[in-house]
Amino acid sequence: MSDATMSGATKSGPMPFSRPGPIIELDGVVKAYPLNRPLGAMLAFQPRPMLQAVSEVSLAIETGETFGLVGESGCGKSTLGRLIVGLGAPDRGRITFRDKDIYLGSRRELRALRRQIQMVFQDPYASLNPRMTIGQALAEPLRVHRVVPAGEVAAEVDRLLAQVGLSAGYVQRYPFELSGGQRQRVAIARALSVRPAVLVADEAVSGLDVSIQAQVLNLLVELRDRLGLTMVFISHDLGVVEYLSTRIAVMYLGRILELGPASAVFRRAGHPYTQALIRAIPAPDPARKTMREAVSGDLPSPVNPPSGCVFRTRCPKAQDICATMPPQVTLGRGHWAACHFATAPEP
Amino acid sequence: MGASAENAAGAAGVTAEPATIARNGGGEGDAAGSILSVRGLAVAYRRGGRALDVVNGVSFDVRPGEIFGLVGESGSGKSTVIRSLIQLLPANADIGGGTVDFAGRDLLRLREREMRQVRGRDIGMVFQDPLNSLNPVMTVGAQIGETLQGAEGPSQSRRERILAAMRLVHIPDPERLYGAYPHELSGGLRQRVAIAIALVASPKLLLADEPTTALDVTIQDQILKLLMELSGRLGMSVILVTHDLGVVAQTCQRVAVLYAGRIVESGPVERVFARPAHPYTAGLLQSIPRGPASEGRLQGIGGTPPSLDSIPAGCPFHPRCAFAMEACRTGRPPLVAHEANHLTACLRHGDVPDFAHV
Repeated sequence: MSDATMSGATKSGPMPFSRPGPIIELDGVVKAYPLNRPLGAMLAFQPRPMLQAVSEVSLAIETGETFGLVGESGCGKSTLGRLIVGLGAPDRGRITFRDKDIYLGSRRELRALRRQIQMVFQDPYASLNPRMTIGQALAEPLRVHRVVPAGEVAAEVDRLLAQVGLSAGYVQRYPFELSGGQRQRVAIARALSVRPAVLVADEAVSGLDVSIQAQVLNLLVELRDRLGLTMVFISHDLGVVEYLSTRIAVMYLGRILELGPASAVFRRAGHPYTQALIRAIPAPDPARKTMREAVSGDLPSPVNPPSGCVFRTRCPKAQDICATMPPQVTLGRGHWAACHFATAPEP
Repeated sequence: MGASAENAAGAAGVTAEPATIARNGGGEGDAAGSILSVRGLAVAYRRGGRALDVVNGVSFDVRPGEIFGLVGESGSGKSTVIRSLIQLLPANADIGGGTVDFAGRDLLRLREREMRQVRGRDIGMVFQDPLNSLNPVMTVGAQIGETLQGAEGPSQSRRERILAAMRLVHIPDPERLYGAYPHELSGGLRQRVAIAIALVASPKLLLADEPTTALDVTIQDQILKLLMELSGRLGMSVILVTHDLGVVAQTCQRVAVLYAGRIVESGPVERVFARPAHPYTAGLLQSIPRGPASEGRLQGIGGTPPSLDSIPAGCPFHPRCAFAMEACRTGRPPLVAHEANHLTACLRHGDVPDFAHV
């Protein structure tokens, strides 16, 4: 292999050398949730207020990459993740898996399709059935989706456990007997049991102590590389997202404000919000202590987001023009920021 | 009771000189110049007829005007430590020993009535979830004023003091928000109200238990900057309990690392982060992602923390420690000076030059 291809492989991260193109595509995806009204508003037949969870999101996730979705609470990253695995249809727009709409088709087709996209949630205690042993929890999807012949289920369960670093002895245990890290390993094994092409991890390591979080992160890296998984990694923790992701999208109030290769987003953030988010992470290095606030003010309500650029109410650079929709300014290869004041680098 | 006399072995003042520690066993370490001195604190929880040692022989000093970090993972006993300082422990907890010297009094010997005078007035508290710690049916102003109850002065000056406290924590438009209820405020504003409640009586010490854990990162950043500003401006000491080493690095001057209810390392933040003298601290620091996985995997720590009913004998960290030797399995390592003011409870701190780079 030549040096050129070597460096190319490093840059794009641990992924297959050929890129067959996007595996998941989102086109103009919108999702809003109705909120409850006070009684008076209800009697006056006022429309229910809507919470804009995801507004006009379009993106393509490439086969084999790890796509990081980062943002603070209420930014819509979890809603987007749920839409990608088929939990709740978008109000508008399309989500496709290998060019097939994941919300259109017969039950049978959708079931086969959605088996390909699996999810790991934040709280494995809530996502594992407390009355099922670990063995039962892992065997269930194998039987439902007929992944292996009935006679091989037990052996497959052992293999799945080994794959996430747990011994076969865990088959007989119940979730309450496991630590948080062990439970999350089981949740990962269960998601992988149906041999999906895409794994969506929503705050999958956020509830774990840092030493255990490191173990689970390393497990995810190892599994991804070994199985050639495409991953959508959703987290509020930029450090964790940077560790895993090849590309990153930064979300705020339902919109993507910046998208690009992970290294570019971290080193040459173009959107004032991304810059503030990076500055706000408390660096574990006392030599890099700062006294200044990264950004002032509070998140506006997602029920009534600002017009134009949604970040303008907190943005230090905001001008009158920011009340109009910002353009997607290209900052580099595959790197853009939706900001009136983002500038393309000098050629 | 699970508390025992072995506390003294681990009881070494953070501010003490190495020689003092060796001579006194730390029990009477040099507490001069500190506003709070904890020695040999032991707390046990009764559970199913057994006593579980949650905190065992914890000693540290807090200096005037500093932010002192108490860091550890879940179950390390960090919240129990600060709650026992002001006797806010659950009913099944027993303080089994130790002293907490604050302004010449041992807080552990105060009766509830006396303790109530200390809480709020001398020592303020801020907890993790402001929505739980605030009263939902009381206005912001009334809640801040509650701390002043019994304080002399006409009601006009009382309102002024409340508004001043609201301005102090940068609550925008305090006149208007004086009459607001907690549910009308954002998470960040609620935590500012909680801090105003803690500060309105001008305490000398603030206990902050994971004050930013429930907040988004940009709001966490604002609250941490506020705590630093207030500590500096008011000359107030803060004990900041957190699981986040980044938070410690950004806000604290000194730090103590807890593991299985014991302090395993303490010292100035710069030194502890640059040259950790305990393998557990080094492992924690190596567990934090600082760049893409392709540039290096996380070293981390193998295994899991012990549960409270099966804390290993000897050094509680030895089953997970890459440097453990036979002696680590039997004797509990005392907290000794690694360098001046930098203490470690590791038998091998002398012969392994740098845990972080091995």
